[in-house]
Amino acid sequence: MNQPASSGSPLPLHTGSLTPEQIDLVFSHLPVDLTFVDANDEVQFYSDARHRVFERTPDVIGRTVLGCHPPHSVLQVYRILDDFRAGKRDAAEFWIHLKEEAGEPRFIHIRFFAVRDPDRKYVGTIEVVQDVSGIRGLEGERRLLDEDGEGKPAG
Amino acid sequence: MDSSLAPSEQSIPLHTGALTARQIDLLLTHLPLDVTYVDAGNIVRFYSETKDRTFPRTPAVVGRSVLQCHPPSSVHRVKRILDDFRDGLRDAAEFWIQLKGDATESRFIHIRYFAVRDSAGAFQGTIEVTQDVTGIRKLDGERRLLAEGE
Repeated sequence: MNQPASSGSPLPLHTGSLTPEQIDLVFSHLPVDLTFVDANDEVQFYSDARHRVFERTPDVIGRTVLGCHPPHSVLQVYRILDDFRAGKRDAAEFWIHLKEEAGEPRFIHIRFFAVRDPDRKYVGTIEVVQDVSGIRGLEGERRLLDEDGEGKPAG
Repeated sequence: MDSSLAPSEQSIPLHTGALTARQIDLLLTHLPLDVTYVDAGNIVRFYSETKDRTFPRTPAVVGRSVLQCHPPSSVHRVKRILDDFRDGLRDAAEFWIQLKGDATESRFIHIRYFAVRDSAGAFQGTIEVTQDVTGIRKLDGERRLLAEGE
């Protein structure tokens, strides 16, 4: 990925177009970690974010979700996917406190979303994992106007 | 690539996996956040058309300069963030506002800008990520995967 992201032909999307390089970069810069499993429960893609909460390695691609979840929780994952497939629900969410070696535990929000096409046909599931510790600590407001007079990093 | 397939059904190899254009569209529209991507020349290239977008966008913005998408009163602030990203002075900027709608309760909206850099560190544009975090801020205790089905 050393060539400019502007190289390669743009892929037409519903609202805009992106080159494959730009797609990779957008996904890897999002403040959430994504994993996409297709309608056959096989992992097709995960976002290669720099600091993933739950590590993924390329060998999970093409494997079933069994390869991504510990045996004790895989039954629960399958129940969610089966409900999505059957159209019983569209989302499931969980939240946990992840203990760190030092400092405060991190508040991790884990969501599963059924992905359906415009005809409501099930095409797969995305898992979205987000460290929301910072978001939960925000106070008051910080508006674009507050950029004035500040030449250093925000936050 | 299988040339017998429609372009939207052809698999695009990505860094960690492969997706079709159709899957990329669906994935981005099912995310719990709104994304807009502006290239290194400040041109809007893509936005995700999520169901309940906090700040609606229309296809007309694609191909336009992001500096034309902001009111004149705040455009210099947006430009400064993008210039700082381009110059490598910072990698992110964040804002949060409480949006009062018709609902009895205001929504807590978190808006972030991230500099997009390739693996060589070259600036490749900016993403704006807008997220309604009202619900996230109210979560209590824990709900673990094991609680599923209870």
